Amino acid sequence: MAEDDIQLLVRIKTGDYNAFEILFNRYYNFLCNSALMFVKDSFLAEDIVQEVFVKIWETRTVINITSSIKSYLFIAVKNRSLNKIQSETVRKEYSSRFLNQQNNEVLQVELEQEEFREHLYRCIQKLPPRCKDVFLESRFKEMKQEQIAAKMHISLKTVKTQVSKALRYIQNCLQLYYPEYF
Amino acid sequence: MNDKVEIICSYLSGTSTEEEILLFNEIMEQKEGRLLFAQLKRIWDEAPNVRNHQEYDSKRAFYELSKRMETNRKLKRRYLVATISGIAASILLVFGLWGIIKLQGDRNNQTEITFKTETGNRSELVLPDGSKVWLNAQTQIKYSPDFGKSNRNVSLSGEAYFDVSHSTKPFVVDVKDFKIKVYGTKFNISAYPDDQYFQTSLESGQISIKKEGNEEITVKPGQLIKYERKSSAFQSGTVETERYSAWRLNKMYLDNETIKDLARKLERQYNILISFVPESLGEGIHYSGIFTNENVTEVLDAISIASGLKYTKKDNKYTIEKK
Repeated sequence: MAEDDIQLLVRIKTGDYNAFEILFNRYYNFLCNSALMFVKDSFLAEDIVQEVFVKIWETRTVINITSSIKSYLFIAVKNRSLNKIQSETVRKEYSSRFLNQQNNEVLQVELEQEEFREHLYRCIQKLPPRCKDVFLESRFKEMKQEQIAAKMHISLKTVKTQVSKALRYIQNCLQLYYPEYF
Repeated sequence: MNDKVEIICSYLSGTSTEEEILLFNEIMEQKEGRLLFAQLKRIWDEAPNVRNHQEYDSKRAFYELSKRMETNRKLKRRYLVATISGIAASILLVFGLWGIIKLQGDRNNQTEITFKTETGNRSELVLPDGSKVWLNAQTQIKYSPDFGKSNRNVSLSGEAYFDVSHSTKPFVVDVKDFKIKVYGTKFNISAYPDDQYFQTSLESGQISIKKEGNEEITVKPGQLIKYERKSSAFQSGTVETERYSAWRLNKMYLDNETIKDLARKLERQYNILISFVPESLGEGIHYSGIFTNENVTEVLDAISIASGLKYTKKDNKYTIEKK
């Protein structure tokens, strides 16, 4: 756990609202996007994350976090998201995949995966405009390269070049964010 | 010359030529090549998973959360007061019922019953059949005194959210251009006479839309039906319906709307006038976002910053122009 997080938690326990705000700003974005993986609605995702923080503030005097704050928040958001998933079938699928494996190792993997996605998203946002457009058509809309070429009025060769340019760019960008992985 | 990234990229997208497949196999024979492949494959595979990611405004969110906690505290304090006033309310309700009975007594004169909200106001009401209606600003709902007996017809101008009680008698909402038939359900209708579009979104249950001379359209839960008045054409799409009735909870949800449409909403909600200089400015800029309980200057500030605009205010008139 980052030293900073421990200090923040200590300050929060003593009723320091400013420390609470710092913690909130630090993880809000990450947690909303994590919640979004389950609930598919950014409106609801924000509600869930805010509820988790409200709970933290209200129970601050008795709260006992043994793992890192980030993974504590992540688990809280995940559980709350699963509770909100309306469809029983979806919940079943998730619960067999996630809930029964509440051990630390699996959670660590999930958390690491969400962190990777957060970095990946940042890097995609930074792609040069034209390159980004082609990459988004290819990976977000999962369009075939021929379709992209036709839609954007460019040659198939250009599509290929832009997609690999994007991959190279993202790989370099991730290296900056993420020296442990790359 | 093809480089390694390009060859791996062709492989990942399934577009490798025979020559590229050979080169790919060569890359995979080296440890360093396999590592590069693993890295690029992870990017490739994970990219679709971040398509819904977005940048959230944590400052705004923290402000929202602080307000939410403040309200929680107040609610707890008010609990006792609420119980006492609850008793007072039931006494009032008895008088209220008397009023309705009396009204039904003189129903020979077929005057319609009208509920209206002014600019800047919202209201909720319960219809004689137990259905609930939330009226947004500048909205009018009318029904005849025999509502609930021989029919369940209302006519609507403006925006309302309906929670219709179940009955074998269909509940019909007339918005002038078309009628919506309902069988016990929750849905939102926006039909302001000065808007380009009428739209309705269904949260649960079943509704159908009937326009004179057209076939009846059945709407499924989660669907939004948009009606362009100029061309008399219907469009449909799947949406998060809560967003369209978010106004009930004082939230304004905007999904790529022109700032002209947004200005109309603000005018109704805050009883102000907004103009654009030049007028075409309002059509050209689109905005997405959520506002909760903000006052009008907070909303205008947010839009101005996001779209490079500035605004001036005189009395209740706002003028928006390019910076």
